[in-house]
Amino acid sequence: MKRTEHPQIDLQIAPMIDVCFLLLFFYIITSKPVKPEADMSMTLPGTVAQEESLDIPDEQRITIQDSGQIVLNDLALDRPDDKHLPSLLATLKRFKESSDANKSQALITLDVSDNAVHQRVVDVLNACAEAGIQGVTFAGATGDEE
Amino acid sequence: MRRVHQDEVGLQIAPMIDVTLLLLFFFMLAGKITKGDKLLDIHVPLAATGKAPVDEGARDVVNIDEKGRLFSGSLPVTKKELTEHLKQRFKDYPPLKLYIRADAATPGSKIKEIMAVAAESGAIEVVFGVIQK
Repeated sequence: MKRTEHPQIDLQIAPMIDVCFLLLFFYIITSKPVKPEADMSMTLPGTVAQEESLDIPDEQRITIQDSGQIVLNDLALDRPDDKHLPSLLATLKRFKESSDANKSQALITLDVSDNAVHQRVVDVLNACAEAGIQGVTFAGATGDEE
Repeated sequence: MRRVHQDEVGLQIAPMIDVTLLLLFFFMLAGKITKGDKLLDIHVPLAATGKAPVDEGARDVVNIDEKGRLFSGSLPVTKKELTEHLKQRFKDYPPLKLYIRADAATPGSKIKEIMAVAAESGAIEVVFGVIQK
């Protein structure tokens, strides 16, 4: 009986490598490096109405206006385009030291205007964190604005 | 004169293919994983005091784009739907953190809105996503 001979099928390595390299270059070129994000955390006591929070002695109120102007207890601090907020930071540090000396908690109420951008809110939170103040609440979030 | 025979230096194909395929799979998978974030296109604000996250597991992510639209993960939601979803999550997995990825240009009214939602849902800790300067 005669044995049937099949033609031998070889794996073609060269085209496979070509395709692999093409795909590899495609993914390398189209990939976008993702910047790692960091945390800026705050403990929520809940949102409070401004009328209630003003009665608490060691509490300061920071208003962020639409233009980005920071107002601390009716006193305008720093320029609206200044990201570092040096005057606010210095004041907050003094406030924190005074609260620590009185053994009371330093509290900040943030009153954010509707059209102020989130970056400005984070700038203020950043200054609070730098001053070591952790008690931050958002005023007017429940619709109890003045 | 006797000719000096040098050892032939051959190109090792097999390890090269291994490495190429590994790189290929890496980029294919990395591209797929980051696709969700790219679709939302949110540029979180910059902050110097941002800390590297310690535990990224126990948190529920809320994305807010520059127009103030809310997304639970990558799913668009209304304020009411988000409140209900978060209430259930905080009930099922306490103590869960709320991770807010808001665009740097998101209006303040939307930030206040999400803070109200967080308070109403029973969130204890809120984390704002930032990029360290």
